[in-house]
Amino acid sequence: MAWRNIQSNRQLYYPYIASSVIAVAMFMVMASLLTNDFVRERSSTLPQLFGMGVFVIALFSLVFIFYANSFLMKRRKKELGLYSILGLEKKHVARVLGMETVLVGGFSLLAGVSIGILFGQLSFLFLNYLLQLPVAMEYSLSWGSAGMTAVLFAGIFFLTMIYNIAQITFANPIRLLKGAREGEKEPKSSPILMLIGLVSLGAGYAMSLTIEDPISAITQFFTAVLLVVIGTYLLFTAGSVIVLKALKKNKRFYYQPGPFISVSGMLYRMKQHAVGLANISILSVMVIIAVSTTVTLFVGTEETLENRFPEENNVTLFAPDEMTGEELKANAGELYGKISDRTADAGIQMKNQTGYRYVSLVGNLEGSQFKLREMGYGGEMPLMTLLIPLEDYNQAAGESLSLKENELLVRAAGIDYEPDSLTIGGNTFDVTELEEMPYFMDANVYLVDTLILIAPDSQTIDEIVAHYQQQSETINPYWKAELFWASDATEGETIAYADMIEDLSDNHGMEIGIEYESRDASRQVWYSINGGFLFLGIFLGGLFTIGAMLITYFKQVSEGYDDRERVQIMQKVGLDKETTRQATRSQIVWMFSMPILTAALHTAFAFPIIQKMLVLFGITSKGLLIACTVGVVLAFAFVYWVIYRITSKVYLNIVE
Amino acid sequence: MALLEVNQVKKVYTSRLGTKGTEALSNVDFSVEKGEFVAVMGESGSGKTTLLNILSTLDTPTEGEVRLDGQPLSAIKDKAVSRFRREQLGFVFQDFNLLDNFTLKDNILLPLVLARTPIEEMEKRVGPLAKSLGIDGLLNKYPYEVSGGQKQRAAVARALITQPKIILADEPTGALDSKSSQNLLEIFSAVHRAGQTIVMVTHSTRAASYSGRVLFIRDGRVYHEIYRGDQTPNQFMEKITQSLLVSSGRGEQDEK
Repeated sequence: MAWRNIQSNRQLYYPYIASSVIAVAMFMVMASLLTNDFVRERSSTLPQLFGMGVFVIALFSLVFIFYANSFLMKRRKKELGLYSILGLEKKHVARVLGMETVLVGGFSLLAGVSIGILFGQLSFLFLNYLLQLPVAMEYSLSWGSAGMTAVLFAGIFFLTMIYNIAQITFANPIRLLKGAREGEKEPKSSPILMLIGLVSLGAGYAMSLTIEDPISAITQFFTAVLLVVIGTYLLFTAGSVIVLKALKKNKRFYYQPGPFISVSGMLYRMKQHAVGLANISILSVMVIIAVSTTVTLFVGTEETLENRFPEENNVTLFAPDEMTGEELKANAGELYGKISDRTADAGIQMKNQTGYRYVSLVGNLEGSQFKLREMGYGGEMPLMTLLIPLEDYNQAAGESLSLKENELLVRAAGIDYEPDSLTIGGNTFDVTELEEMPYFMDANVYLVDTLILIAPDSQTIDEIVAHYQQQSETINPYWKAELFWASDATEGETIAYADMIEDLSDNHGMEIGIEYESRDASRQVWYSINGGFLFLGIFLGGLFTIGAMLITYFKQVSEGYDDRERVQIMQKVGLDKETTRQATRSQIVWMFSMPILTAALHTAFAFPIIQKMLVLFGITSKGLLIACTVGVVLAFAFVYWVIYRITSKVYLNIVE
Repeated sequence: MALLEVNQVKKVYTSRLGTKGTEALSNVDFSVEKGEFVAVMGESGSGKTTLLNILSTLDTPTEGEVRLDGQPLSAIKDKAVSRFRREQLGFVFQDFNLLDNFTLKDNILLPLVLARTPIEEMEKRVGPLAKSLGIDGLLNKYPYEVSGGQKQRAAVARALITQPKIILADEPTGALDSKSSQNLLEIFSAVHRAGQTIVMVTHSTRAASYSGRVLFIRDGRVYHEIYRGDQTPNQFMEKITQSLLVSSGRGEQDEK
């Protein structure tokens, strides 16, 4: 009987099954990305972000399937009411419904998982071919993700079944008979919900606007997203009703053919409309953000490399705890000599050599007092403090400044340093602000708030180091140095040259620690990482676009059938084709433009937080992100417009 | 001159394959004077609905001509047909055809809104009309909140509000219980007494007995007509029933 029911209701059931299958497939693909090698190994934030993505899709699937189910049930109330009148007990009706759910759910799960796997494999193949990344991405498959999908959707289908059975049990047959014809009640307007929505949205926006550093951007991103999602749903459901009702109150506007039909039509189904619209908006934001950030990362790889590696060749020296600045200088000189010998042997000339010594301290400022931080994490964001001898600064910057014994030059990033003096390492110094710095030693290269202090000589710094080494047992500040140089090696030679220096830095036979990095040798690695991100971005963008497309299509078609009857009645009373078109068109235009405008607004407000997060990946220029975001928004708007054209044509055809 | 003239109207539906046509109306010929209340009676499949569709410009005759106030309906251009329907005709349907997304008031105002009537004029018309139909307290309710009889009265108000030349009613009592039916028919009589021309299609003798003249239609042609004269509705109903019995040789089931 359950099977026959599905057969005889196939007009209603096919779209429902189709949408369930798609939801399952989307979730399956997303869940399998969680076990993807790239996602797991590249960065610690990625699995977290994808976990969030999986959660959002799960939520979305729930809303989506319930929406499709309620549409189905409304149509079937009459049939089910008839069963009760014909003497079928509610128990039996419930059993039939249960069987139907099992059949439909089982089929959707099987088909969805298979389609998800197939789609995942194919799209990975296609994208690999399209992007030609140095390292191909592999689609991983695991029973875990399939199991997760099965459990989640079994749960969702079970919930719909409970809901349906409850509907049958608590309603009397007569009401059921009328169910399909009964108009949806005019939605109640709730200013409170709208207010909560506004506050939630505002709070989400404010978080994005006020976040100061990249680390808290990552930690607060999830909260901000959640607030904005809640705000979007509430504003769409409560806000739209309030706006439409206000429009209706304006009699001069309302009692005109176009608004009369479209405003009342929209109000009529706003409850369903609103959820659908909010879904589309959120999917759109996800598409835009996923694609624009990953495109920015990929396009900005050169910039990342330049930020990360100031010169073609970069060496960092780590001094042992007790080594003084002067000793490090001698060591650095020795190393430098070895490097230039090797370079000369290879027939290559060094250029733009520069470098500096420094000591880094992590702590906090209390007024003009610097306090060393004992333990790494928790509490307020730490302040990164770099101490650089004046000698090194003058050399690197090509300046000839001089400082008295108790003077410091200060350059701050992320904070303003106001006081005229600073107490550090037990001594108090007079401070003067430094206006400019060579880019490779400047403060904005660092992710957190940074204070750069130029001390009169390396002995001053030695004293500060000694002071803190005495004071603290857990933290031992020590000297470091950076060396940078370019060479006249041709593009083909740089990798070999890098290998040579790498070899030297591994076997230098000196007391100090050395780390060598070549920009050219790292380039390939970075491109493959960022290419991986781009891949995921485009993949997710495509996935969500397909989701948004299917929702709009399903919505328009199902509503088209609903509206047809109404339009036919109006045409009988004297509505002409022209006005029908105008009214339905303006209704469709609203339904389409609202989500995309919302998505654009969300994106605009998300901009600061995203920009901060990208700093973590070494992208500091705003211009690039703006250009990429605008480009992606335009491209998405175009795709969306095409979807709109197709679905509105289908809609008009149905209605007329 | 008659308000509505139906001259030898013929309607043939050709099947999609085009081999053989079905003749819905073979030769219908009658006229309605201004201020008349005419009922058209016939069994299912007799061509009643086809006739009404042709009168309401929803369908066109294969042959023959329909004139309203001397103007042939076939001369109305496609673009003007909605406007014509809106301004000259008023409709009352069996299943009310009220829109669930409008209040009763907005349902009634719909034709006026479509005609871009100023809001003040609309307000002025809807008040007294609703009062005379006894639905003035329900104007802000939605169709699903009121009873069938109230819905049909709202539909009548919607038909009357444009002050049409003629009201076309298709089984207006078909979906109503007997009390609501009677109430509605009394409203029709009152509207008729006020000078409104009404053409009503029905298969209920009770409904027909309220009219001034009954046309009997069968197999696509008008085969009989009787006038009420000054009989009471009950007497007239008796006569209608007899006519039906005599002419068809069998009784017509009606819902008294």
